[in-house]
Amino acid sequence: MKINKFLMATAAVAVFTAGVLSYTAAYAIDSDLDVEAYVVEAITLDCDDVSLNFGNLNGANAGVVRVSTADARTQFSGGPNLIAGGTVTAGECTMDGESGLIVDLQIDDTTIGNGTDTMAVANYTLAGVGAATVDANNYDITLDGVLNTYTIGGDLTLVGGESAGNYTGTTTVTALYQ
Amino acid sequence: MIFQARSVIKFKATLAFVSLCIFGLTMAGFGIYKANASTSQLTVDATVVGTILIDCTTQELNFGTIIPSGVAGTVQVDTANGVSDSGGATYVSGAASGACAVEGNASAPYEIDYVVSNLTGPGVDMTLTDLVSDNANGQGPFFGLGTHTANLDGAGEDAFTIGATLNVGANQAGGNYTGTIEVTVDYP
Repeated sequence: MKINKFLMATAAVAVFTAGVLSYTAAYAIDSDLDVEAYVVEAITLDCDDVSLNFGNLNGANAGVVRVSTADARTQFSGGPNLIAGGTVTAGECTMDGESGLIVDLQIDDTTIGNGTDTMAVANYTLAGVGAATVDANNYDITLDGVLNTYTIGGDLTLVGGESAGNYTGTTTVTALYQ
Repeated sequence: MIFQARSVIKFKATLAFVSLCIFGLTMAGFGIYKANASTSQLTVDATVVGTILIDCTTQELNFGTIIPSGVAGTVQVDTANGVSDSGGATYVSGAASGACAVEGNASAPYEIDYVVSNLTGPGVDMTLTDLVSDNANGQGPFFGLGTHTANLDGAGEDAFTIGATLNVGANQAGGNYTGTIEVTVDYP
């Protein structure tokens, strides 16, 4: 009887000890996997403030009137179409984005009208920080991380005989990272 | 002899686990019953369950450079450094799958699971979804979080590559975003 009690006590101790060991023998280790992403600054483009404006014109003659990126107006061909007065300005866009990245800037050809007649606007020119011309509608602009102003000139084509009035229109300017 | 038998029990208990101790107790009882035996030999076997370790510090999961837009989008990195994008997010360059190395007992099955955090940075947090992982020993790929079971090879090793989908918000603010995936391994 004494032996039996002893055996029971021994068994209890042994099982307990083994239970502790089995708990500590296998254990988990975790490790943090770093995750990273870099989001570039979105392009901000605003062309709403200063219009490309060709001033007062004589519509009787066919011709092409050019406004430069420096607000200078010339009779490029045909005409004469230039009449003193009115506002002559190159268009302006401001743009900002991630410094060092290159933006493809596209300016679509367009027309302006007075409700009766239309005139074509095309053959743009663009000037500003980091700008390089691809063609009349496309420009590569290397951003410097600063909000810069880009001036836009263009050619207005008159076919002759346009009716009098105020001609207005818009064009789409699109900026995308290369 | 009683004390000799008791000492054997204690010896086995410090080596191993429950099944071995039950075996030891049986032998101890046998020894007491044969109290007058001169000698007896007891074979002792033990399997020591070793440590399992994981290291995910050598290669982070990198979504690279991303161009946001006014429309939300995603960038997906798979387990083999493949990248795709959708919606308004445009992937540029620099992405890589994450990698982890596992070491433990030779040929042992083990469990791996993940806890994912958001990526934080200058703008709104970006979430990670659709985690996918694959292992060198061939039990993968594994999709989603949860617990996945893989096997260590004969050298007690395995390696994981990890990808996921990053959800980029509309007009996500520019800058560097970081987060972590906590990877845990254990024996079943």
